[in-house]
Amino acid sequence: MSSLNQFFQAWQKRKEALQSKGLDQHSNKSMESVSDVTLTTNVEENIQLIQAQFGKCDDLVVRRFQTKSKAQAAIVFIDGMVDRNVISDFIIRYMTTPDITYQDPATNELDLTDKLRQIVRNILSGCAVLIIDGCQNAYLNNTRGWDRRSVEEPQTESVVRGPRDGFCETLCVNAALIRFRLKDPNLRVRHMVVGERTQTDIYVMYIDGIAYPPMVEEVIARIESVHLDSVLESGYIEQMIQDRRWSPFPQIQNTERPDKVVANLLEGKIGILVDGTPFGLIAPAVFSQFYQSPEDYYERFYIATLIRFIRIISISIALLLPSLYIAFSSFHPEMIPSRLVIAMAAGRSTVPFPSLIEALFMELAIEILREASVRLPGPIGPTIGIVGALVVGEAAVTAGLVSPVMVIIVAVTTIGSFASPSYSAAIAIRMLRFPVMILAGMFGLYGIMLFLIVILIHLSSLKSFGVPYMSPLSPLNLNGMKDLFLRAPHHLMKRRPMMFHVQDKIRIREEDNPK
Amino acid sequence: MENQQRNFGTWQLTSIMISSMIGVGILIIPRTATKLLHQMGWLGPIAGVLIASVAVAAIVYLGNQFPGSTFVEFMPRIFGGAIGTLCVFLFILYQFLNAGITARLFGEVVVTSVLPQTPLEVIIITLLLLVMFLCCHEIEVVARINELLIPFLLFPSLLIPLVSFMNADWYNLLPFQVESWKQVMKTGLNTYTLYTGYELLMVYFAFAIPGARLGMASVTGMSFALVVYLITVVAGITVFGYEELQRLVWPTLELVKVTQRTGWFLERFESAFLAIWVASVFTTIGNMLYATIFSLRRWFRKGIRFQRITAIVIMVPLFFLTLVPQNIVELFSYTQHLTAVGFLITIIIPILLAITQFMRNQFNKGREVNNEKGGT
Repeated sequence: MSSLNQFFQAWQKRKEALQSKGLDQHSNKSMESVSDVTLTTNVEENIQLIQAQFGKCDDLVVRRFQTKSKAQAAIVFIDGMVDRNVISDFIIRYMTTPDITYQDPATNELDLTDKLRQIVRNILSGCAVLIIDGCQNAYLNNTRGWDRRSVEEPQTESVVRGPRDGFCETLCVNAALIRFRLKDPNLRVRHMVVGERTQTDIYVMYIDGIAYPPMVEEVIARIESVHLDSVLESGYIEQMIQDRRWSPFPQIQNTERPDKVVANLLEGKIGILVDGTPFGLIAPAVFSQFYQSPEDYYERFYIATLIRFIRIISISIALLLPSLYIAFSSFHPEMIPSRLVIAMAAGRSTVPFPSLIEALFMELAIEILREASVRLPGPIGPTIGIVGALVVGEAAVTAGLVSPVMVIIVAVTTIGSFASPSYSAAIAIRMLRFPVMILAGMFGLYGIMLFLIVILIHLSSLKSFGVPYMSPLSPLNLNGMKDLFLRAPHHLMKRRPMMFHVQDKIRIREEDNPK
Repeated sequence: MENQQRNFGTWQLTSIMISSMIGVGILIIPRTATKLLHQMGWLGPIAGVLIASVAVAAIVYLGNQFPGSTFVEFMPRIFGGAIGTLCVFLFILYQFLNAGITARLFGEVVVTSVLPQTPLEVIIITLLLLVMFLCCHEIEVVARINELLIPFLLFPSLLIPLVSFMNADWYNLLPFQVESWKQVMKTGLNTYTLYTGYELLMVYFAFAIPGARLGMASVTGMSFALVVYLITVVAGITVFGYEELQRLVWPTLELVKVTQRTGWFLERFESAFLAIWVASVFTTIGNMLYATIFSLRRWFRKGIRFQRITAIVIMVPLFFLTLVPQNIVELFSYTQHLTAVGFLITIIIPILLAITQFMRNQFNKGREVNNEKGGT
């Protein structure tokens, strides 16, 4: 045993060494190529310096002009990333019109630097850089302005009642959507840049005084330790900072809804916004994200509670119904009421396959249909879906390939999986359906139960930023139970959920609400 | 040790206790309880709980005396190195054998009643693989999984006897008299095995949150188990009568089978019952084997990797062990032998430990008083 242990230790050491080597190699590859020099006082030299960094880039615009004090000057920016009106009206006109005595360009954000690397980075993020002869510092003007999608209704998380605005692709707009709902000076925003080549901006948002400071630090430390060359969507960050990278369950919630982010910030969680994607992240996540929707809090609590139960049932159906059918029809037919079993047997009499094959075949068909209808162009998508489902289903039954009960089951399963408000949670359930079906085909109900226990063991071992995934169910927290399956009336939820180690525990103070 | 925090709450300890106790035993309890006592068989679980609760009290006392340490640490401290180590060894061995017997019993039930075409070995292997998966995790997962699976245990164990009362003939409980108290004692010594599983608390109490009410957890757990066993035995006697119970191998399963006139959407329940019962059996075996492997880990002062390797390695002998009994009659006789050994380990050793510790405390207190007075 000891030699085995030694072997493991050696292996571990080697792994660590490789990791640290890998880290050394990372460190800002693309910016490394920019030589870390300072500007000179000569305009032409400076332009040469900057142009050298971009190579022969044709979208790099250099506009030379003479200032009112007859000095040579130039503006350098990238075409398409800047607001041209700002450059012509507030930089060039300001600098050239002799009547204006003001010296600097009139842009809303202005910085001075002579570091070439910083200049290059700013040009790449949409700044216009103003260089003036005889002045070693360059002006970095915030002229960012590119065509962006406006705020629209979120596609994946629609609600019947609730705000209709969703995140868009621009980070500052998304942050503003949150600020607009949460006018709390304690809302903190930390800016980070991840991605060696994409240099993606990331905001980490939390409420100071509610969020647990070590958790905030942990989130920031994990994002800092992400070394990717590109971050094109928040999914990159999500997958790199989650606790267990091999788990099928999403350990960080994603959402398109600013109201959901605000509600979660108020529960002591931490929001992560990534530039270039309408999907924000919420950490830590717990299992209840599978069936909770912001709408639950907007409707009256009876209805919200009922709808939560319906969602839980539909998630269970999405996970278990096909495998229950397999188990019942091939192992435990005695459990089905006798009239139904006769009807089912009559329906199955022409089917040449065992029920496992039949179910796998149908589930596969429906998955293909589903994937195809996502790709199909807008107007014909639903049509193809309906035609495919109806025609193929009907024809398959008539041809005797599948039994009618199977068609019902597949249809109900698919509809059930759409009832979950979170797409990434639903997709985990959708995936786990297949191993359960195979186990049900091997061991019947016993197999289903085995797999459920495996999932439960895995779920109880999962943690998201130190918060057990199954909390508040396990470890049991009666206060948290108010907002788990039930949705207690707002006036009864006086305390914030404890599992996120909130600092300000009271949500509604007694003295504010005299009876 | 490593960063194993003490974070088991009172409810988690209660659920560990309940699910360790209630396992395969409930499937045969109506038969064993009525064997000697006939229609008064329901006294069996009560006599059993009286015997077991003495040991539970001893274990709670030990748990309060040695917060944060498992039996691996406190047995040698109380009994001294040699005897303590022997006790630790016996305890681990007992848990190991008990887990094997339980797995085999459950395999027999499944194979005879729900999956007649499936080989027994397959059922046992899958169950052991599941337990192995659990054993590869840290100890807090055990507490959480017990907590999560408690509903799977609560519903069938309370619902099935209650529903089967529909077929009950209450005159089967009469005459209401005890023929000999000696028989009650004998049955008690037999039925106390239903409550074994409480000795695992010698491991799990070590991880109780400081301030968790160990006594409360044990009393709740014991009384819940008592209620479940009591109504199961009463249901067995009233539905079948004690003579017929002697001829049934799995009386509780038969109870489920006769419960079919309910007109619900399922026609028969035994497959569903056994499927749900997998959870309960899994927690029983899982808790036992986890305690075994975890105490080995504590014994050798190793980390989680040792635990994982042990979990994988130990399953092989365990599997072959479960196949030693040739048939179900032999299996029941092995169970009887194990009960005798279990009596030593689960009753006598904890009580002796508690008494020794108590005496030592008294002695030390006396000495301290003397010291305060200025020495002897």
